Amino acid sequence: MKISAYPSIAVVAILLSACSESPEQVALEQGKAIWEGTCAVCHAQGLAGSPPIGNKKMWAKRIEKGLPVLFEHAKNGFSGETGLMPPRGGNEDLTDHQVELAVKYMVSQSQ
Amino acid sequence: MKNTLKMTLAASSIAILTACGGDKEAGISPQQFTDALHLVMDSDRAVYTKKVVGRLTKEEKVIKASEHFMDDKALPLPAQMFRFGAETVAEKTDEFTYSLQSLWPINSQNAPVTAVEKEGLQFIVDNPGKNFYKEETLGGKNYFTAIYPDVAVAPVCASCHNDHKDSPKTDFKVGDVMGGVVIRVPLG
Ligand code: HEC
Ligand code: HEC
Repeated sequence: MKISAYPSIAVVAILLSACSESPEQVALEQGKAIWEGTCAVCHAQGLAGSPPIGNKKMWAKRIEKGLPVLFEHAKNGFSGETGLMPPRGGNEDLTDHQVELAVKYMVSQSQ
Repeated sequence: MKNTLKMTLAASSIAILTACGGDKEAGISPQQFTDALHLVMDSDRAVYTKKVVGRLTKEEKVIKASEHFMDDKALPLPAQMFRFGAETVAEKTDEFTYSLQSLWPINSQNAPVTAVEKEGLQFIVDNPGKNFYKEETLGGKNYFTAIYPDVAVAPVCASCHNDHKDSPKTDFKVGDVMGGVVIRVPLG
């Protein structure tokens, strides 16, 4: 009895999570994990002239540039008015797609 | 100099805020105090690194930055600039002290001394993006100690340290926490 109950609970759980999470939410969660692994060291607090996550004032002008520009700057690095953004945050193992997910997450929290 | 001036301004405006508060609850917490100080320090350091050192050495190429800035007639390194400010503050007041430290210091003067400093410097290496706060008792007196990460933003941060004869660590890379700013305030 017990044994057979487990799989069905698992199935229900999977169905539930599938229903409640849109693809955008899944992407944001992936982006969050990447951001925590590589970007938080600077962007959690805004060290060394970086815009801190959630700081709408500092992000507004940057977000105006549009996502493609932010993607490009995050991948290749960017020396703007306030500091130096290292390419891929210094983590060369990140793919383009992973960097984009992290940018999207940071932007979603900052507007 | 500029560092010191801003520091003093920040400290005195905080003192005024506390003084005007009247009852105790209106004061600011030790953490708010150290967070505000750190914000000023980190911003000044970023500005010096970017608008003075970076601009004059890399863009205009008119002067170098060097550890031996007197002999070389060069700009002091950002870390030296920071230490000079801290030393000036230490001469003026006992209200707080600060220093840039590392578990792998080039200048042995920048190594952690107290148990809380060692614990905190390790904590910020293990927990990227987080600060460390703890109370400690030194010589029978209680202190609030805050430690903020200092990160390698540029390849030169890592390469200069890795190549320096006095550096105990030779594999820093961009994005690494290289050390931390330690701010200590006496309590009560
Ligand atoms: C070592 C510190 C550091 C790390 C790690 C870091 N950044 Fe940055 N980032 C900066 C700084 C500094 C700036 C501001 C540069 C400027 O405007 O002068 C910045 C700016 C940015 C911007 C705005 C660019 C623009 O055009 O205004 C984006 C987007 C960004 N970072 C994304 C990321 C992502 C994604 C990661 C992780 C994969 C990351 N950063 C990791 C320091 C860092
Ligand atoms: C040209 C070489 C050079 C560069 C570039 C450089 N440093 Fe240093 N750094 C030093 C020297 C020399 C000291 C010791 C300064 C002193 O006398 O207190 C130092 C001190 C430090 C300390 C205090 C612990 C110690 O090692 O004594 C930290 C933390 C630090 N630097 C981080 C950085 C970061 C972050 C960057 C990039 C933003 C950077 N450094 C760039 C040479 C350099």
